[in-house]
Amino acid sequence: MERKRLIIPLLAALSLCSSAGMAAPLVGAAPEGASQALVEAMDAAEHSPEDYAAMTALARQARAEGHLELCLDAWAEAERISGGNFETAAGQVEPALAHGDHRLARRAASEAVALAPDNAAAHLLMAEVWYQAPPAVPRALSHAKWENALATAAELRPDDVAVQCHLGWARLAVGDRLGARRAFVNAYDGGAPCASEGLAETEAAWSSTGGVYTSVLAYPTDANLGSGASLAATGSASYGDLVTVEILGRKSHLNTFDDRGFDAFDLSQSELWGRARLSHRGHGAELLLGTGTLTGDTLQNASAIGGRAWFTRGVTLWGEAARSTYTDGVNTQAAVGVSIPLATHLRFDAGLSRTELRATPGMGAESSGPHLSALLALTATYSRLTLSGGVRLGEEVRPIRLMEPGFWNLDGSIGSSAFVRAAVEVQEGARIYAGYDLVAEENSGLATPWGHVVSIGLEKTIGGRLP
Amino acid sequence: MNNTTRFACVIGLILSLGASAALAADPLSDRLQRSYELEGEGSYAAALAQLEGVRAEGDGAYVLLLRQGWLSYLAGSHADAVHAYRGAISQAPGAVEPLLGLTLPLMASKRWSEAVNACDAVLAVAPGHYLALSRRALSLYSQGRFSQAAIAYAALVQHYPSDVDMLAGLGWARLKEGRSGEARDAFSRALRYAPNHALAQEGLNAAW
Repeated sequence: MERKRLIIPLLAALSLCSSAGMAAPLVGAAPEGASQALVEAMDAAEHSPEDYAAMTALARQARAEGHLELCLDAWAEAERISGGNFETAAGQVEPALAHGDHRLARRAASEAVALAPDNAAAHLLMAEVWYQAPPAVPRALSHAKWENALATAAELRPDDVAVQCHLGWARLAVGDRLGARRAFVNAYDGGAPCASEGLAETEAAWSSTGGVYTSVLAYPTDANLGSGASLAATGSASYGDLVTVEILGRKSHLNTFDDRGFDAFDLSQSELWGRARLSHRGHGAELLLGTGTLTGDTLQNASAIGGRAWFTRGVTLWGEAARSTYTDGVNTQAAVGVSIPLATHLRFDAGLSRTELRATPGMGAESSGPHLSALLALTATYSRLTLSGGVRLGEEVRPIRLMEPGFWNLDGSIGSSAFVRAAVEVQEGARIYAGYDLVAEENSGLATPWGHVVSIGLEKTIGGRLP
Repeated sequence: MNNTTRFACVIGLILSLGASAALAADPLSDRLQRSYELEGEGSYAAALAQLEGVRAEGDGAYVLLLRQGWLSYLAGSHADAVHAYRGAISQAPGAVEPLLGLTLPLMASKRWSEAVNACDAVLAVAPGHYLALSRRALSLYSQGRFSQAAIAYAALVQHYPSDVDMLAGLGWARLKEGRSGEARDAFSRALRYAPNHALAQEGLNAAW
């Protein structure tokens, strides 16, 4: 086929701020395999460079034949001719996405929304842009924008059952199971075939999860602490992803040595923890209660109460506080932090915690703190594998880790630590965990004050809707 | 009839014949008349050829250029038509008709910016001129300047509320602006007055 030539302005991409006289012509050629219709459309556009209809017709014909660059050039030229309008903005979104130019698609969709904020189609285009966000865009952000655009479109077009279905899936993606359910019900009531799958997906159901974890711990350079192990079992029940109640029991053991290096008493610790959690749309709160019996050179009872709340808007902000009471003192702690999605598969967590022990006079403990400790962690998720690693910098005294509750019942404070974790979903609902913690004993006087904890675990979820 | 009366009739006849002879002798009038006849037959090129080589001055030159512009437009020679109309405009700067005529070949050759300028020139001389307003609206629409086109169509609809073509134009401009609700209103109005208006019906279908 004869190759045709077409004048395409070089500055088309800048057309919104250019005038007709500013465009520099670029001579382009018809793409290989162009149909007669496309050649004629190019002829018409070349003959009437000021004719908007000719340029949009060329854009559409090029898109129909899969010539995305030509299509986008023609839309840009139409934008230049017209000074930019809703049609040129809207027209560029789909071919830009197909061409992999997400930045252009987002700019065009934003423009369409700005020009016609009351037009549902504009918001649907914006929704599509965020749905097709590239991996570099954090999923929490893209899903929130996707859901937001669809919610606006649904408001503007309440009878459109297809929009309701899309909205249902978007809400599910942002953790709004109740809202998703409402959207699917609306779609179902409107007779939409697309609603059935969503209704089944959002049908609230109880699920139960059981898990066992074991750890081995060792303080090889500490003359008084030896090695030990712990075994924990958890059970939880969840209603959808809205309500979770969990119970955890742990038995730990650590042998000790006296100053001459002979076996001394064994540290033994029994713990029972209960947790209740409410969550919705990335926001939530939980209450944690714990009790324990700590046997060593003396017998101690311990109890703890703590709470944690989080709020998500692009990033997740969280705060927590806990109070643990021992026979020899009362420990308080508070922490705030942020969880920032860096990309689809990557998350950064940072937090700052304050711990303080107020000793009960005459019980052998010494008051300590307040101490500050900073948490920095990265978590990467890919398919069924989750890897995380981080450090805690600073000093802590008897912390209660609300995410992984436990009594860290050491006489002294603990210093900086580092950890790595891995979790893999080996089959639907079944996960294996592995972790390693390196913990420094603060003020121990040891040249290498490190304690090592290696953990593995297995969890299985039964029933409900699996993620 | 008495002799005096007879004489007067003869004189009158002589004068009349003399005047006819004088008109018939004016090549411009003769060529113009012939061009009207050929135009009526649809022979635009031949009509145009009748005016070639005719020399005229003053009003005659203006009319000749105006006629050449019109016939060139009909013959599809839009560039020639533009040239002739521009010549006519220079002959009669305050005249509306050459400016209005100029809009036709400009629009036919899709030179929309110039067409808008020509319409503006008409409106400067004759504010509210329907043809200028409607051609201006269409030219803006054809440039994809839908917001301006919608304003222009809305002004026309305000002055000519039953003009279904302008209502349809308003509807399409609003639709292309992404203002579907207002587009539907305009199309519905047009279809209420002209239920078979194809353009309005097509627009209404697209607006849903």
